Amino acid sequence: MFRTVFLFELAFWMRSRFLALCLLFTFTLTYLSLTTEFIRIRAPLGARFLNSPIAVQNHYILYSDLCDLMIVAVAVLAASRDFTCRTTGIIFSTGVSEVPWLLGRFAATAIVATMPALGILAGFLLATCSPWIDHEKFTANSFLPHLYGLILFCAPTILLYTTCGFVLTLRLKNAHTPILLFASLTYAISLILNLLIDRDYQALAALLDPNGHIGFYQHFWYWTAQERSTSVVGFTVPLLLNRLLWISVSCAVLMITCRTYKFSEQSTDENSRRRTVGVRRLRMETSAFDQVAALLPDSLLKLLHVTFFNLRHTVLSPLLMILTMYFLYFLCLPLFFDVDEFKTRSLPVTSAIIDQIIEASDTATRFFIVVAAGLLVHRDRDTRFHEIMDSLPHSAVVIPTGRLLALMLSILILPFIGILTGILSQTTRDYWHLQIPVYLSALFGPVTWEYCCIAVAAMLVQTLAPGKITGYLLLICGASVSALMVPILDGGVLPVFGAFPQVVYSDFHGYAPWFRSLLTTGIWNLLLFGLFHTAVILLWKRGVDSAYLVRLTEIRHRLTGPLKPAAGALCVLTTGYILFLLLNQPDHQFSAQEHIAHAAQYEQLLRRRFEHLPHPVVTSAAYDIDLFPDRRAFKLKTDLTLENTDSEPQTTVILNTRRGFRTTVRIDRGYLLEDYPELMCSIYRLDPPLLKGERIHLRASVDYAPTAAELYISNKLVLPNGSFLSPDEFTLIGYRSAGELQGKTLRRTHNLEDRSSQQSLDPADQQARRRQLLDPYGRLTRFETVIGTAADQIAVAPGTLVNTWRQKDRQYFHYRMDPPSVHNPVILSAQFKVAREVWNGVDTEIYYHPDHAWNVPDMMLGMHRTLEYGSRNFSPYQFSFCRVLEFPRVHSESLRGIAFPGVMPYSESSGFTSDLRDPASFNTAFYVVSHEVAHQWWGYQLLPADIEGGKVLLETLADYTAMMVFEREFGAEFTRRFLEHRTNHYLSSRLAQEDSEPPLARSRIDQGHLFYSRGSLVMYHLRQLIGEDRINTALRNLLQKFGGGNPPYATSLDLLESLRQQTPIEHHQVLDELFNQITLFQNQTRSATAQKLPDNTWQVTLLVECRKIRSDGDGREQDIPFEQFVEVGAFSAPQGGRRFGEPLYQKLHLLKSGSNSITFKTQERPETAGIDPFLILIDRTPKDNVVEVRTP
Amino acid sequence: MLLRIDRLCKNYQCGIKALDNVSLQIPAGLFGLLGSNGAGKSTLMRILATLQNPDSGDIFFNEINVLQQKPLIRSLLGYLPQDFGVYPRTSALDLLNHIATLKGMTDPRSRRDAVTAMLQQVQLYNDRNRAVETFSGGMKRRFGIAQALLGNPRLLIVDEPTAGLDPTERNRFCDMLVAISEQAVVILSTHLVHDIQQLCPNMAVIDCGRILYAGPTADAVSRLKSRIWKKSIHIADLPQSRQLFQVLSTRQLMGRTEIVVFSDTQPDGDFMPCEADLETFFFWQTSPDGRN
Repeated sequence: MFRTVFLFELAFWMRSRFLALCLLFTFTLTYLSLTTEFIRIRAPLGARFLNSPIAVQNHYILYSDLCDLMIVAVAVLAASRDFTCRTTGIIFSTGVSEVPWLLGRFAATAIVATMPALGILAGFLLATCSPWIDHEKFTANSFLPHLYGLILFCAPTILLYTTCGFVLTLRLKNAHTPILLFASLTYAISLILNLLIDRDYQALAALLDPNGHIGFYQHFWYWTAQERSTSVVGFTVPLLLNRLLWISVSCAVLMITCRTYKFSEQSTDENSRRRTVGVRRLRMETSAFDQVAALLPDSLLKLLHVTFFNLRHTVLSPLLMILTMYFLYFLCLPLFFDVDEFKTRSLPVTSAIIDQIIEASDTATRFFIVVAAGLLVHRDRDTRFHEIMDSLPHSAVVIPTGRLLALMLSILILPFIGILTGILSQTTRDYWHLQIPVYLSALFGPVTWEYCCIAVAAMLVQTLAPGKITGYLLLICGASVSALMVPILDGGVLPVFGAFPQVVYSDFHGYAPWFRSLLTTGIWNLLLFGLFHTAVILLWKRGVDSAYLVRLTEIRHRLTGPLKPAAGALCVLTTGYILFLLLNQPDHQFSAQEHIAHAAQYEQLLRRRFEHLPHPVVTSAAYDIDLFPDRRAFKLKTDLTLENTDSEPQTTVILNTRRGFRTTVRIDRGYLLEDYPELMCSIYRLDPPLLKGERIHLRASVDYAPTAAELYISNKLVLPNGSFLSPDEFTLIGYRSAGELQGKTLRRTHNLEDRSSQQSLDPADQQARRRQLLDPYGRLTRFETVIGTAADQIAVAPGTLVNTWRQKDRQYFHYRMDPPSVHNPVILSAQFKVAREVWNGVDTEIYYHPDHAWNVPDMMLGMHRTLEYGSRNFSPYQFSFCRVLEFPRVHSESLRGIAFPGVMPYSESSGFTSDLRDPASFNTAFYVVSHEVAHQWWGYQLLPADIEGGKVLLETLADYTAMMVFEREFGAEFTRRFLEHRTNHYLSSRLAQEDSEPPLARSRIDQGHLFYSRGSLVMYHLRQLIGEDRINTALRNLLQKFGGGNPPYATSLDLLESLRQQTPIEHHQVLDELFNQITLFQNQTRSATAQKLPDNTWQVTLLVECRKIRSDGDGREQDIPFEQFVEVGAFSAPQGGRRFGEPLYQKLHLLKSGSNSITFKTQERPETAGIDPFLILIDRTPKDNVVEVRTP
Repeated sequence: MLLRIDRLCKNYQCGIKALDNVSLQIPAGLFGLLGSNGAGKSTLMRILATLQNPDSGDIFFNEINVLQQKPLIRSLLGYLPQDFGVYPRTSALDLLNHIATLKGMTDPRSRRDAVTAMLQQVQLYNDRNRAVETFSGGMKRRFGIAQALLGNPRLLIVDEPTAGLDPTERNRFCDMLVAISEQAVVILSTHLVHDIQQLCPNMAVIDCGRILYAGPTADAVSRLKSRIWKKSIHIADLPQSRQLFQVLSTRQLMGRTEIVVFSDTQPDGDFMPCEADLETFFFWQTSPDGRN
């Protein structure tokens, strides 16, 4: 009997289109993710090839993870078929008994649910055979990872999910509730797993994860790049335990169901009662509606009635409920658990919560619109109610319009729930600056309009489609085609339907900068929305004939009454608006591809000719800028003095202007030789040539105002409140290597040779040391800035404020940079509140938004402490001012802070809104300010040369200084948190690199994981070896030698030399390893025991394992002999959320490769002990260094 | 009040002639449309209910051109299709209320009264809050009747209305139809002759898209007076009898087969005169000989 049921079920599914669609889906997803850029399934870090074994396995895990609802749907459909098709009477009276029926159908279902995973195998096989793939990203195919992926990950998870869906359906006897319950269950499990990981219970999380995802990642986390590219994750103990656990759970549930399930249980009474209750609740809502509706005219009332009738159905549909759960899951995780890299939480400011609501709801909303549009358009036919509905006396407008309105209103449900959740998260964290109007503007903002456009487009497609499923397929194809078309359409004059500018709310300017572009795109979208909806009305299926010819002939009859003039007006207006857009030439948004192509072309055309050509340098500059914040316009006049500082006469000036701004330039003695308007670059010839010491002027003016038909914000430099621009960027001189494309693959695809944008570090090459990193074509420069701005704003630039005055209702500020500094000007203007203090004659100021005063005292403290530390240990601070300014987050999402000479802009979304109320949080506000102030020495006193390793002198030293200041202020507890982040960042980033890894001293300009993370770890290691004083002496010496501001500029080798002079000879080897090699450690404390001695002290014995590894640039590792001082520590019980308690013992011990035994005494019984507790060595397995101390 | 159907033709793409030059004049009152399955009844009903367009022909309801003035005719129309479904998770009250609003009953109070009265009339009032999808076949049919009768239609088209109703429900429904037919044109399409015989003073017989008879129901039966004969035979003799006589129908009676034949004179001595009824008329009309 089992066999019959099993084979029948299998045959049934084989005939079903659903299975074919699922297979097609997984195949397409896999294939596209491997061969195109449009879909990216992120491969695990460090897997060099897209078909590396772990990347393959990851696809199988993602199948069971992302397609969980699809799997459950298969189980639910199979289990509920006899109930939904009402065949229970026939089937259950055939004499088949419960167990074979249940097991037969279940087994077939489980196999069917696994089948779509075969699409992954097909996707991989076909992708590797496709001729258009980048073959360097693929290795030879192996079936082993597919087998492991299927057996180890997919099959047990599918068994579990199928069991869940099957058993829940048999028990609940309907199709919706099991899916809802399952979604809630997975939601709850994910939350629990996240909490466990957050609390460092990694092993438990790996055991309980139904997907095996966590165990999989944990297993290869510490693999080398080589292993990640070639090895497969097999049957490891934690993974086996996890898989066995869930297989057992599935089998147990199935067995219990087999024993207890009886055919006779099936009864629909309970369901009927439940439905009655459900509809009763609906009825009450209708009555309330009726009372209001009584006042409205008939046609409007019919429309409203249809709208609310359909809205109720849509809102209470299982589809929206499931999507709401998904939305809440993706919203609550960041809302309640998000922390930054130092585990500091941000204040729940409304703008950030709105971003999270939009991000979390986007996929769910789009999915909802597409599915719901199909259901709404085909509802009457699907339910066979159309003959009744279509014979009723409603006009052609009522039903399509009512249903579209219902769909549009139901789109608001998710953001509305999001807002309530957001407010809840704010109030539970005692944050009461709720900004309800900001929430509401987001609810009815451009994102919602965009969804409405998708809704009408989806309804039009469904109206034209013969059936719902065809409609969905058409929509999927349409979405793919439009995704491909966007770059093409974007370049055109007319905007794409549904495209709105991407708005970013800021407390500085609200949504004001986008008003014009929202109006332009809004009118366009509204007109097309009207046209599309008119088409829906005219083509809506009514009656039993749905042939296109019949519907076309019906148009004549429907185009009557007010619809006729309305449609006519829409056509006329749209034509007029197209003309308006064509005449006004809206701004063109360059795509990422275009930028890349321009950069490649720039390098190909200019590098060989001009990279090493002697070029005049800027020696003084004057900027006169008029900002018009309300219009987002500005006028800039630049006067640069260019000087020949070389011995040879110079004949060429290369000028790079900024894209999107018309710049007029005049160069003394210069005439235009070559012009590349596409690349924003012109080459001038100087005649007569510029002799040594001679000076000429480059005068330029920019007059910018946004176009009348703005489609998006082409530049965000000048905003109604919170302008932020660097005036030098409009007239950059010389060949700019910083813009060269980085990354092997990218360079190869654009036929560029494999090289770094920076010169290689060669101690003998003195010529290379003549250009400095921050301004390759500048010397120490005197520059002046005059800024005119709105009367209620304060404008700030580097330099001393010479004068400020008011003229014609505008405020002017004149800044002069004295003493001369690196030519790196900046201008900020906003309605600031200012906190002012004086430190040793230096005016320390923080300019901030009046609502963001929370962390200003911490920032001021950070500024003072760093000025104090730098002045005492390195050299006196060079300016009479030190300013930190808040800038609106729209200027950069990723940038936190940036240092200009004496002026340090700091993002609104970072330290100003960090939640520092808990003393256990890492004080990001203090730290980032401290880092930027440190740059006033490391960047503006010590000028690094523009060659490899230059960034070490900037960022590594700034980080070192900031952490020294930070540790003094807040204690060593935070050092571990800082170094843990740096270790993880370095280890994970190095695996993600495409190019081979250089040692620290040769790190390139784009390798932040080296000069920030590895650099910090190296400096801490060095401090442990030689002490802070010696390091500071070395840095002081370096400043004295290279701080003059003239070439040759300093390199990382100079830093190394200076440090070497302060390092005892026995540590020179280590110094070399730190800077010139890639050295890693793998230390582990195997056990820690404490025994009480008669004198009431404790003898602690540690058994530790030490390993030192040297890696080459490509991740090939080899063990090297190890004999080195390593810190050993023992700590009391931690308190207040800290990792360690008070240190009871902390000393360096000389340890060797392999096993070591360490014994020491403490006054109290330690709670934890281990080696390298603060992770100062770069440890590949940082979590096993410290263990709990046991008493024998 | 008159519904005039003039030379209506409808062909389907698969080659089926659903309506072939159909012309009818239907006065106020109940009008029965009798035909076997696939005769074209439902196509005619759907065209009358503005759900389908004919290939040619005209329909006028009083002065209203049904095919050109659809919105107007819909406001006078009540339609019960042969087969229909309902929205899921929707109560009878809600759905009826929805339909009533779309029928133009926009005053909430009078609409509510009308809906309640209708639910009571079709005996669904106690189940008004139940989802219609959970109704039994008979209840769903009654719901369909309720929605068709809402808003006092002047042209009521009911397609197989009594299918699935128990005898009591059927009688109650017939009473309702008779009541409404006093001020409306009611077209009742069915293949159950009993309904027509019982209710409709006028009728038409349709087969293969053509009207075979149109006129008073009583006249139809009187045409067969003294021309119908019956005889009891052995089942094995049936094929031979079919060759010899124009057999209209057969039925089993106490182990013997009784055949009913059409003949102007007594076919042979064994045949007894038989009283003609509408069913016999229908069989006669739809038999190949009768059609000729």
